[in-house]
Amino acid sequence: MADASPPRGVADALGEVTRRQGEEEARHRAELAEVDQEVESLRTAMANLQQQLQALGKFREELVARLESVSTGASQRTYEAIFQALREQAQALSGRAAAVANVARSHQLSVDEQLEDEEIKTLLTEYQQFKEQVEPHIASFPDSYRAVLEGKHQEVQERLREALGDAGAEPPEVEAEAMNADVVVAVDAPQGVAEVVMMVLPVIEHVQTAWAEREEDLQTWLAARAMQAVYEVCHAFGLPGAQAMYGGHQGLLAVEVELGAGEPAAVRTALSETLDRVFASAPELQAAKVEVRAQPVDVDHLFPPEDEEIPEEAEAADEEVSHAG
Amino acid sequence: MLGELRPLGLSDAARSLGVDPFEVVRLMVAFEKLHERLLLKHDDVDALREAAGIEDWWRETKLPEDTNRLRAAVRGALHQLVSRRLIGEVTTRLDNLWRALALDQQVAIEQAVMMLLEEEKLLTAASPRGVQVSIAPGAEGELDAIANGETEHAELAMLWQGS
Repeated sequence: MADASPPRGVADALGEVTRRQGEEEARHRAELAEVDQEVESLRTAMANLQQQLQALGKFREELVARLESVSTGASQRTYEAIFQALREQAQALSGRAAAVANVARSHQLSVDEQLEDEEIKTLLTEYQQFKEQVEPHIASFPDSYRAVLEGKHQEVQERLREALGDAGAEPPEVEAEAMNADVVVAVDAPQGVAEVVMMVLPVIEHVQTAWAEREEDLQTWLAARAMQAVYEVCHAFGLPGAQAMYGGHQGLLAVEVELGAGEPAAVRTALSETLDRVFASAPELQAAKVEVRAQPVDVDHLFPPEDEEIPEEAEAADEEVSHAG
Repeated sequence: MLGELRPLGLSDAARSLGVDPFEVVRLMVAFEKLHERLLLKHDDVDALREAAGIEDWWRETKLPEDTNRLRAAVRGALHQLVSRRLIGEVTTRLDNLWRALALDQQVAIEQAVMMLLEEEKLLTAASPRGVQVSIAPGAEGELDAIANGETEHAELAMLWQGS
């Protein structure tokens, strides 16, 4: 029997182990290198993605800022548009007020001419005589005589008032193009109840703040009609004691009335309807060819955007004035 | 003379009453004296004066003698409240306190009223007649002492310092 192969020596066996171990190590090292390379590739990719993320994040912030500036800009543009329009209207109304005053002066001259009427002159003489010669001593006259004199004087007075009143019954009518004006009105209701009514009128603030130093005019009448409407609404909502506060904003007359009651939508509707009705039926505005409408706005649009710096002089001009008169 | 016979515009009515023209409008709405035009008969003005309780205290009465004109005004106003027994529900229009006084005195009285309201020594209430004021029950003695110049009120004193 022949042997297939001679048995390996220990040295060979160990050599074989070493060779296999070397091959295995080489294979693992190759795999490791491959994995390391893959990891490195992924790290590079991640770093790239990270950079892209950062760039996108930055770009997003810019877009958010742009979006906010559009919104703030819109608020500011709305605020500026409202007050610019009102200032232009106030200027136009001031011109129309001067025209109305001219007509009123002419009208007054014709009334004065009417005083030259013989009957009126006689009545005026009687009136004057009573005032100067009779009234100072009337207490000393017998009752029956005094009653006759007073009755006669009353009659003269009524006839004169009628004549003078009739002469001034019609408001001064101007021959001019019809012009429009807006009264801007807002209701502040942060808690779901109408807290404050705010109104800005197309008239200069001095109509109220310096009323004693200026002649009553068309601007006074427009403001008075607006206040009539506001107080009628206050009455309708059970607030007969409501009292307005006045001040100037950008040179225009601004009004605030604290309500503290009323469903906001109902108050807004009542204000718009009442203002429109009162303006439409005001004979002095009709005669001046001025058509005034209520213009409801968001309360935020009556204030400058929060980040806007208000010039000192404008701030001083916006100081609130007392309602006490 | 003709002025007595002609109706008054808002500003003239306001001058006659001692309020501003828009307060005249408020009173015309409150007491139903609005006509088609913004004109008032003299009788209407008298009726509004009566209905609103508008009084002219300082036409006949002088302010108390005082070296400080603002203190004189505040003392005078408080004296009127005390002497007229305007306490609790017996009220008067707030602007009756200062009507026809100089502007700085009007402001001083208004500020004094605000201080005394915070201290609950005065009461105010909204009313169709206008803002009403009266002495808080129990505070008459202290206000009388201030009015008479017997007591110096530290907060009020700040109003007339430097005047």
